[in-house]
Formats: sequence, structure tokens, C-alpha cells
Amino acid sequence: MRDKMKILLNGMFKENPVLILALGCCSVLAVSVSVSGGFGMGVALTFVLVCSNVVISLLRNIIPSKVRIPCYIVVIATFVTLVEMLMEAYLKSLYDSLGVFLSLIVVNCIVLGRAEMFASKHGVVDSFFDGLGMGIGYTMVIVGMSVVRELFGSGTLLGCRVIPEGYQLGILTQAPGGFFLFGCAIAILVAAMAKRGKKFEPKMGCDGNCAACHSACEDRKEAEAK
Amino acid sequence: MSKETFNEYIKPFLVLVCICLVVSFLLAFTNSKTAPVVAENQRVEAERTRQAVLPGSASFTELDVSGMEGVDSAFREDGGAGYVVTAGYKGYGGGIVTVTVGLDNDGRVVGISANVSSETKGIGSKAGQESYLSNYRDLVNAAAAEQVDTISNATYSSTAVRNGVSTILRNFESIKGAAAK
Repeated sequence: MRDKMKILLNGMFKENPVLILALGCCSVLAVSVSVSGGFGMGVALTFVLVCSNVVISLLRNIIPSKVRIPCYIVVIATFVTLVEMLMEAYLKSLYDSLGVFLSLIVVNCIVLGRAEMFASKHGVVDSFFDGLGMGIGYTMVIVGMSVVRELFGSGTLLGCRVIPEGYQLGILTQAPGGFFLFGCAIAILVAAMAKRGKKFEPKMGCDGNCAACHSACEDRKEAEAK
Repeated sequence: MSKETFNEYIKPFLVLVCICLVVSFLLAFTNSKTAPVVAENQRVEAERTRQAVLPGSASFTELDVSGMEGVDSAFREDGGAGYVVTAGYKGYGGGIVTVTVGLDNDGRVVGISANVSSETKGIGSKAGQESYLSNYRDLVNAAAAEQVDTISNATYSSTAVRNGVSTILRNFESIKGAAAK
């Protein structure tokens, strides 16, 4: 159980997909203008991530490595389309607020990244927890950012007015404000980790940390063997 | 055929085809369940917008708008309370601003709403707020609608609204004609 917990926490902090691995930033920056939209996006991504991780882990011994990327994309696209159809039918307002970013989960680097880096190499249960942890990590960041952006940018929280009209920082609802806040969030996380004595050094080599290494292991091993 | 050839060339192909077939059935099944709900939602939503801009209206009959330039759709209220017409114009950055106007039998604007979801939040979206849209209330002719001021720094979005309203008012006689048919 402890190692499952470790996988779960790994996605939330140590290898937080958005702040540490810097994946999926596009949707975070675009959708984090309202808390309800950010939360909906987080839940949708978590669902897709967990389902695709589980299915890809189940199929990992069947899928030939030659066609693995098309297979992963088909599986991911299926779950995204499922979420889209269900959301359009039963959660119309959320569907409208997410707009095109819902379909863009298909090409979200977090989902494909976890399929390639984790689910294709680990068992079903581990992959489930990895997907869940990464999804929660993503949701935490997007909700955290959207609280700040909605509160100070639009003066509302979950649609209820908190700060009176005319006292907003309009730039926070725009893209530049999003980038600014994104940088601050990364800085805060890195500072917090540094304070706890953890060295923060994104390494180029893999040293066991597959998620932070951007090269495919097969190629690397082949190169080493030569 | 050797086993190697099979693993190298045939197996990847078969696996991918199988996966695609399975997911296609899965998606077709889900779609068959959700498509009617989606269609019903859209119908209810459109009906609600129409009822909101025409006070005292209940149900509507769609009119033929072919030949009326710029008009997307027109509806006549079944009880004779008036008409609901929509027109869409390009806002800022290519998004379409759809204006829905409720007209009484004399062609007077009694209610108006604008879908500004494609416009910039907090800037262009001002063109969809009641404080701006109320400028068009009670107008009868298109020339008067064209005299309504646009919103400074949201010119594109508010111009789209203005174009929509003036197009609808300009076509009122033809809409009335279509209803009489």
C-alpha cells in the first residue's frame, strides 16, 4: 500500500505534471479563468488519464511497439470523446465553458506522456494510481490558479461576486496574467521544495526518473550497447 | 509465412484494426444514447431564448427565411404575440455574435439577447449586457438602430450586435410576408 501511496503523491508533488514537468500548460493557462471551469477540466482530465492508463496497461503486452503511439492515441481519443458526449448531454454549461479544450485533451502531453512513460511499463494497479495522482496534481494546480484568477481578475468566486465591480486586475483574466501567475506558482513550489531540503534539479539523464527524462529508453539502451 | 514476418508486419496491423473496431462500437453505442438528449437540450435551450425575448410567448413556428440576407432564422409566435428573429455577425477575431430579437406585430423591438461567448471576457462581452442591449429596445426602423452608439474599446463586438439588430429590422416586412404565406 505504501508504494501505491508513493505513486499517488509522486504525481501530486514531486513530479507534478504542470509545475515540475511543465506538461499540459496550454489548457491550464486557457481554462483557469473560472474555478468551475478549472475544476471541470481537472476532473475530465483525471478521468481520461485514469481510464487510458488502465486500458493501456492492460494492453501493454498485446500492443506491438511499432504501432504503440497510434494505439495510445486511439485509446485516449476514445475516452475523450466519451467524456465529451456525456458532458454535452448532461453537463451542458460546463461543456460550453470548456469549449475546444475538452477535445484537446486528446493531444494533452500529460495523458500521452503517462501512457508512454508509465502505463506501458507498469501493472494495472500502479498505472491506475499514477493516473489518479497525475490527475489530482493537475487539478490542484488548475483550481489553485483559477481561484486567484477569478477572485482578483473578475472579482467573483464560483460566479458569486466577492470584490465589487471596478476593483479588478483585468490582466489576470487574459493570457499574460495567466503566464505571470504560472511562473509564480512554479517559483513557489520550487522554493517550498528547496526549503524542505530537496534539491531541485531537472536532470537531463534519466537516473530512474522516467517522467523527467525526455528520451525514449529503447533508443538510449541501443546507443549504449553500440 | 514465417513467424517473424507475421510479428513484424501483420500483427501490428491486426492489433490496431482490432482496437479501432472495438472503440468504434463503444463510441457508436454511447452516441446513440446521448445524441437524443443533446438534441432535446438544444431544442429546449433555443425555445427558452425565444420565450425570454418575447414576453407572453409560448410556442413557435419556424418561418422560411430564404432570400433574406443576414437573417439566420425567424419564428412566429403561435398565439400571435409577435416574432423572434436571429442574426449572426462577425465580432472581434472572427467569432460570431448571434443576436436574438423579439418583435411585436408592428416590428418594434420588445426583447433582445446576444450570445457573446466568442468575445473577449470583460471587454467585448459588454456588448451582450443588458445595459447596452436596452439601447435597442422600442426601436422600429433599421436606420434608428444604426444610430445607436457602439461601446468604445468594444467596437467590433458592439458593431456586430448593431448590425444584427438593423438587419433584422430591415427584414421585418419580408418576415411578416413569410408568416402570411
